[in-house]
Amino acid sequence: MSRRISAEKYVEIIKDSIKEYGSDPQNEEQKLARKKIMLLALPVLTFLFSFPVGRYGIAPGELITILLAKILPIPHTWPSTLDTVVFQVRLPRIIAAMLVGAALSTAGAAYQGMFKNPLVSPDILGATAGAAFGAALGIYFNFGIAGIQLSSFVFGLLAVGLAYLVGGRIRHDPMLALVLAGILIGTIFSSSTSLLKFMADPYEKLPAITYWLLGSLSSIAPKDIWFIIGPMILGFGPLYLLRWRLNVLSMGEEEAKALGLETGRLRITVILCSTLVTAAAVSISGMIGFVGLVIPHLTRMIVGPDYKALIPASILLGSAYLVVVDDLARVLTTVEVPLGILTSVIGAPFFIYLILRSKGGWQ
Amino acid sequence: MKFRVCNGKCGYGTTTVLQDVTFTVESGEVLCLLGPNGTGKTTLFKSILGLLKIQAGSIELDGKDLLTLSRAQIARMIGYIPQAHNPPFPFKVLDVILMGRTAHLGVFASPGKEDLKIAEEILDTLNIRHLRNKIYTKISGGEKQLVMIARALTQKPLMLVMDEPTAALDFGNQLLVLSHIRRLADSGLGIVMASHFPDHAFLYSTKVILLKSGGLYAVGTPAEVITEQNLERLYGVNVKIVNTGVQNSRDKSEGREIQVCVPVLHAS
Repeated sequence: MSRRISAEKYVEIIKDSIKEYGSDPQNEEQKLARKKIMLLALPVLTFLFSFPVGRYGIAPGELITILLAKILPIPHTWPSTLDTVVFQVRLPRIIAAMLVGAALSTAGAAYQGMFKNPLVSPDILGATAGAAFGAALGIYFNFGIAGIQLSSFVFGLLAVGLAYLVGGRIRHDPMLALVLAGILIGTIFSSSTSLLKFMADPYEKLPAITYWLLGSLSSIAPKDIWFIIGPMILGFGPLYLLRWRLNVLSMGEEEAKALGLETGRLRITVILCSTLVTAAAVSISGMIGFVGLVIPHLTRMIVGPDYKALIPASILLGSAYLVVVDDLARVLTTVEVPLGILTSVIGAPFFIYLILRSKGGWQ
Repeated sequence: MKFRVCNGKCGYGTTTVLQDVTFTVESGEVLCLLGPNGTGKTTLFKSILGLLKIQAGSIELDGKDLLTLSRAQIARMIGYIPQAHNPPFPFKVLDVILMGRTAHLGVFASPGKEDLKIAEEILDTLNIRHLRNKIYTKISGGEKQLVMIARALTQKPLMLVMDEPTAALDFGNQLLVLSHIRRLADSGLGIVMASHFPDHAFLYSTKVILLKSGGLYAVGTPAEVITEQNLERLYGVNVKIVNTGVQNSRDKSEGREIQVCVPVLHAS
């Protein structure tokens, strides 16, 4: 098999290989380390800079003292309203934005791998449609805030559960069957939501339902965080741990099996975890589009398609993104614009700019 | 290594595609599966890989019943090389190859240093070190096929199953891939491959199965099985098998000439 290579050709090959390896491996490592630091710093910085943003201004120095006072014995020299703003209003809202952003982008990334399709978002199996119906139902029947959230969460899980059951009975390629079932169940739930809106009292309940469906974090309270923290941890944990297997799963059902994966078991775990985090997120924030579809793409542009890096990076980038957009929602206009509108209005043009610039390296 | 299928009945659900499937593959053997389209090659492959439960009979590897093994256990013994295709995401070649280690990893684990070392060794074995950091979706078909072979080898299997490894490859790459296959068999792997070319079977295989709709038509050495008569019965074409007078370097000791199939065209 030995092939004779001319000297020029040889030089060319060496040049190519140098280009391929990125001049020298150390440089590559440095690049990677820089990316890591940037990705880790992003949520921390957005977290800190989001406190002062809003109608009640807080100076950064003041903020740090207030936060430190929670752990250190610092004399209380500021008005107690500041405490309320920081701990009862801003902190829960920022944490909620981070959790919701992380949840939607992680679920989106996981689903895109599982369905071998980069156009998939977390609502593909009906989680969002189910959760929206649950919330509308809660508003319609006056369940109260906790009741609305619970109903939303439960219906989100229920919709995906139904889609999974129906999909399992369709005799076809299992992935296609699942998507088909998800679309069908989603349609049933979203038309039921429309029916509820149609029947709802147009002066009180209809606006409430509509507003909820637009998505917002403006009325987040500390107890909302406690409500979703359990399902979030239950969902994020396995998705994070199984991230190598998501790579393998994205190669397709048969190949993944031949490589040693019990695909059925893995698939149900991924669906369950993604649904837990999505339903929990939607139950406190309402419908927030775009994040679950596009943040995984954005992340892939930065760290590449390997799920080992993609899942943690999606968590970091998704949380930072939603916090920033939520900050904008707070300050852009005097009346707060619903977050669900802003995520797309800001995100879509930004994304278009990125794809045009990146020469298709995102896929 | 000894792989044995005994009175296998393969098919989907209640329909049976192949019956009375009996054959063995041992270390160092290259078994070539020939048969017209639609005779059940893919079905047989899926059964061999345990992706499709056989309806009757037994499949054993070194005395272990395939049906009782987990996917990971099977993957540690049988490597599958699908026809090269494009995954939805632009993985790096090295990552694709490392996926072969999955069956050796714990559920929550990712490949580590030891796995990387195995992958690097295999890059060298197949002479594809230059592909290491390239994007899998952007390399050529022949290169992809080699990467698929590398991935299967990192599974450290006893046997390789290949679905038309030379389909869609140019002439040079076909021969390159086939000579790698031959070398892997010499190193002790058992190999099952599907092909559409009797010539390839003559060149590289030690055993041939002819498939005809419903079951095995013939099993034996290439010279025994690939005859003018059998090819006419199977494919309905007129073929002459010709001795070329050229000897394959590896077969010199046996003094065997390379044979090729030449189609005889009728004047219409």
